[in-house]
Amino acid sequence: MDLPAKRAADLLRKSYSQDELFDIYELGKLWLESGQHRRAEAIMNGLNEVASDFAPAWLGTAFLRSISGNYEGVLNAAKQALRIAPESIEAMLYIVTAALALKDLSTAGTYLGEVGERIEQGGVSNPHVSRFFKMQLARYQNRG
Amino acid sequence: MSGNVGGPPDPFSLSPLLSLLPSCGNLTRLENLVSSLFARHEKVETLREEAKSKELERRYTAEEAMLRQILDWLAVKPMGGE
Repeated sequence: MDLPAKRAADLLRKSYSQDELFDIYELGKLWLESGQHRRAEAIMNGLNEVASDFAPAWLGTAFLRSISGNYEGVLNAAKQALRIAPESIEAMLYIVTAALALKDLSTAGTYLGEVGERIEQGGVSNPHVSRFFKMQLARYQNRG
Repeated sequence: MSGNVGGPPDPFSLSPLLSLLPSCGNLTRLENLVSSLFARHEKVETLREEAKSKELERRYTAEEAMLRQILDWLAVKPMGGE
C-alpha cells in the first residue's frame, strides 16, 4: 500500500468508533437475516474498507460469498476474520465449510479438530456452534 | 425436534451458517448518529470526487454506499415508536 492510500485508510478507520462499527454491522446482519443481500453487501464491503481489522464484517462477507457458491471467497474472508480474531470458532467453522466444499479434507480436518477440542473444553458460548460442528463433522466423515 | 410449535422459527434451522454470525451491536444506537453519519456521507462524497487514485476512489465509493444504506434505513425506520 502506498503512503497516500495508507493515510486514507488510517483516516477512514479513525472516522468510526468501535461501538459504531458494531452497530453498523448489526444493520448489515439484520439485512442478511431478512434476505436483503445487496444492502447487506454494501454494509459489509464498506466496513471492510473503513475497518479492515473488524472481524465480524469479514464473517458477514464470508456468508454472502457462500450464498453465491464462491467458496474460495468464503475461505479468504474467513481467514481474514481468523487472522484478526485467532480464537474465533465461528471463523474456523466457516473455513471448514469452505474447505469441505473445495474438497480440501486436510484443512477441514485440522480446523474440525481444533473446534472439537474447544467444545470439549467447554469454551463455546454460542449454542449453534456445537450443532454446526456436528453437521460438518458428519460431512467430513462421509467424504473421508 | 424442539417443542417450538407456534413459536418463532429456530434461526439455525433456517440458515445454519447465518446463525454463526456474532451479534454485537445495537441498532437503537444508530438512530442517535443520524447527524454525524449524514455529515460523514457528505464529506466522503466530496473526497471520492477529489480522489487522486483509483484505489482511493474505490475505498470512498464503498464507504459512501455503506453510509447511503444506513441513512436510507434511518429515513424509513419509525423513530421513537412513532
